[in-house]
Amino acid sequence: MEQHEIGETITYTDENGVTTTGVVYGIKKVDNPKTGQAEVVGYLIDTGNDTRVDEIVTEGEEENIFIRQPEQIELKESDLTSVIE
Amino acid sequence: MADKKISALTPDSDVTGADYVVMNEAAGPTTKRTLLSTLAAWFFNQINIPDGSGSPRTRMTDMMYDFVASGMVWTGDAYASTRNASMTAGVVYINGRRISISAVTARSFTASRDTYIDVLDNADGTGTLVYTEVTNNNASPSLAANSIRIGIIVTNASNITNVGSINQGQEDKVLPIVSSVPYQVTDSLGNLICNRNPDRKIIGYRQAVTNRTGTTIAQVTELSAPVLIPTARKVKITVILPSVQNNGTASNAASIWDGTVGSGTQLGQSTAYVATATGAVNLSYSIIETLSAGLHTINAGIAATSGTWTAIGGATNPSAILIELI
Repeated sequence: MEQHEIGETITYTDENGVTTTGVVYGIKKVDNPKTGQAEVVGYLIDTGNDTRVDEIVTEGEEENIFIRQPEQIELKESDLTSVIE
Repeated sequence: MADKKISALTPDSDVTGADYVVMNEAAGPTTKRTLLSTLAAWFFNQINIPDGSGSPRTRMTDMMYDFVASGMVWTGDAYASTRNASMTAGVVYINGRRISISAVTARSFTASRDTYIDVLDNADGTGTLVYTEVTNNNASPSLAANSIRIGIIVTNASNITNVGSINQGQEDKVLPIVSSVPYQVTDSLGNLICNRNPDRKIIGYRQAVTNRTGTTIAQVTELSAPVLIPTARKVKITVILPSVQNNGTASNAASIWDGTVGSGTQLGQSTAYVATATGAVNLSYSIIETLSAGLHTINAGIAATSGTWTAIGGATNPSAILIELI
């Protein structure tokens, strides 16, 4: 992810091709549970619009965010040792 | 191994989540198995996560503010020495969902920043601590959806100065501060900081511990409270000005404004006559209003018919403005 600093003017184009320009005023970070290090996950920008402040938040790497994955195992019929009655 | 009927198997009362439950695939007729813990979690999610009108979670969202149920207390590890701070483990409720958050130990905060700490609901029973850094004494960053703000930690170039640099919504905090108005109870956008009350009533508060003076109508500097008004809710606005002096004999008047003092919408006024020069009057009063939903900045102003007014404020006798839901 491209690094930016507070006070820097950046231009962001989303997946719909909409371009937004603004000054970075905040940096969002999440601590990597594996490394304990803070990692940037997005930036807050001020577009100068009095009524709205845009936010650009990028999707974090899956391993950076703890997501509980329930275990589910599927077996073939030949694996069964008992018959359901 | 010879086939056995399920009914012939020895009953096992020692059931654990690591046991398996046999079932048929919906697309069938494939037989499959799943962990009992997985099945239990699926049942739990059907009840608690969907937004159906019958969901306990939906009802809790309707009835309660997001709040911190326990823990989540931040402390500087070595004030005036390092930029490290730690947090106790805790439990928060966001959107009616109970979320446990692990303790944080010796986290280093970026220098010369106000770091806003929010908990993000991941919608799966877990939450993520999100740290948003802005320059010192700047406007607050927006609070993301499905999040609760639990604190603001202020660092200078080399350390966290003292306990006053850890803001978890206490009424007497003085940092961050913008235009002499510290962020007490709420940030600059009206977001509650570390709300611990599911049935929250106080949604805005600012206090002054310094004397303020003026002649014509003027804002009492610190008494400027941003609040987020919920839809269709009445509020009670109270100005606490127990001692307002005048250097002469004149009438002092305290007013409540939605917006800028003198140009916004005046909501109420209290007037009292100072009969003796340098005497003081109590201008405290409350009003009830129905304001539009969303962000409002409620301000207190004072005017005098003549002379100079002084709103007395001190650490043990603050003046204040308070906004409550009713």
